Amino acid sequence: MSDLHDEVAQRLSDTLGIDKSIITPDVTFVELRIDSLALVEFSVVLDEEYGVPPLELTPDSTIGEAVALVAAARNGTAEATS
Amino acid sequence: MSARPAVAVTGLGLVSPLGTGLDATWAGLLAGVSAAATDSLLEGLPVDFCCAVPDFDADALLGRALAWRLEPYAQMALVAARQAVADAGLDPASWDGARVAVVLGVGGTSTRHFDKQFKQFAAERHDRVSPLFIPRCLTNLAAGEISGDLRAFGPSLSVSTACASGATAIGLGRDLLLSGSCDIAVVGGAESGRSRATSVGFSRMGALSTRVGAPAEASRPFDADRDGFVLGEGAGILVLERADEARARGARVHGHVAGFGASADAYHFTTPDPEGRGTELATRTALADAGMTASDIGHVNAHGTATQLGDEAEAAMLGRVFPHAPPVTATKSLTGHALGASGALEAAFTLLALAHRRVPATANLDRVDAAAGELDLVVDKPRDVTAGAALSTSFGFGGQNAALVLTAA
Repeated sequence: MSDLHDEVAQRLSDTLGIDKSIITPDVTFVELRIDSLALVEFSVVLDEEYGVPPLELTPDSTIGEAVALVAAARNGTAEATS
Repeated sequence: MSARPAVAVTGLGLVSPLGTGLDATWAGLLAGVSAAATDSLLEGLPVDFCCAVPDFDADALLGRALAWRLEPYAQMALVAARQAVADAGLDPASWDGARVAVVLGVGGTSTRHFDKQFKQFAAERHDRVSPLFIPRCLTNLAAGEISGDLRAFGPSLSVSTACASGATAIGLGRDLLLSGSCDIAVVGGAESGRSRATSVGFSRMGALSTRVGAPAEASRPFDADRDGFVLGEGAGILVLERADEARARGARVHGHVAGFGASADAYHFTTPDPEGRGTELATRTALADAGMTASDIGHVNAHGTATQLGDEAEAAMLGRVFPHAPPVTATKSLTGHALGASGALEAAFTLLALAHRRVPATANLDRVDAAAGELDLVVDKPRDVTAGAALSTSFGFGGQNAALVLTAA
């Protein structure tokens, strides 16, 4: 897994208290038992930290998709999500 | 009025600026050192000190997955509730949750999150406002969290009478038990004044001590040089059961809630009635409720916040009601003012004092105010007492008052 995955997983763990060991690229937010309120809270963190536009993530998004959004935002191409 | 049956206190849970748990709290009460200190959270504000709960690690105590969504006051409430239930020897996994009530006193909405969220509003970044903005503003959510955590399916209530909230919750929980609405009542108060918005707000009212640079000397109830209260935080939770049922299950009993009195000043929205008619009514009602006379009271844990008007009015009231001048202590000199939690914390302190037959001393009482000259204030060191009944008073903005008569086991 990439350094960026590790970084995003750490943010998720810090924000919502999810055990980092179960945060893999293929797992979805629903599978991590992250409800809609918690997902919005995490989306605000991604927006503040990386400039990921809000409302891009859904409960069925995977962590890999979230990492791709972060990578795209860093490259200034946030629209070109995976 | 004939006395109501006493209700047993079978569990105590405490999170306060003196520490977490009964032993740390009692040690802090006897040590007699104010918990007030400069706080980096309040850096740059006109009043940059408060009484914070030391070493409170909500992540470790509750788990991060639960702690993240709770404001600090709710974290403290939950920790204290779990403590109290464990202390009572009760197990939520096996009790009949439909017969368990929760009544929590919370004075004001949590304001710790305001700074960050209001910046988003000001910048019109509504898409960055936390989805927990409203839940974190609701004063009833901590009671709901306790109910959920303890599988308590009975009445779950939040009561707000400002700084009397914790004591009012104990009284109402007692009444739920005596009315038969529940068999176990988990009651108390929780609030955190450790917040930039709260510090600024009370500071603008002129309610806070401004002894910046000497915070440990700032909380001075009944002292001639007092200049306002010091913000505190915490949670005090009591488990109440009908005394005969507590005895029947062999529960260890800390003491009893023997009497409760509630009243309104009906005078002014923040200024206490200088004649103390409302506070006197609450006190006399609590005595009558317990079937006692004033002379039965062996010590008083005063509301004593260290405001000019409040202490003066309370001293006059206590002098009128208790001509035998029982020992009086004001533990906010140690803990600061935990607002809606204070009445519950002080009820628990009073029960501990009754159990140990020792009344903690009031700190920073160097020169007793002339208005309190008739009181027998406990100073310098704890005082041993023999009487088994005590009074704890709590008065809130809004002129809402509560008094509890508590007795030893």
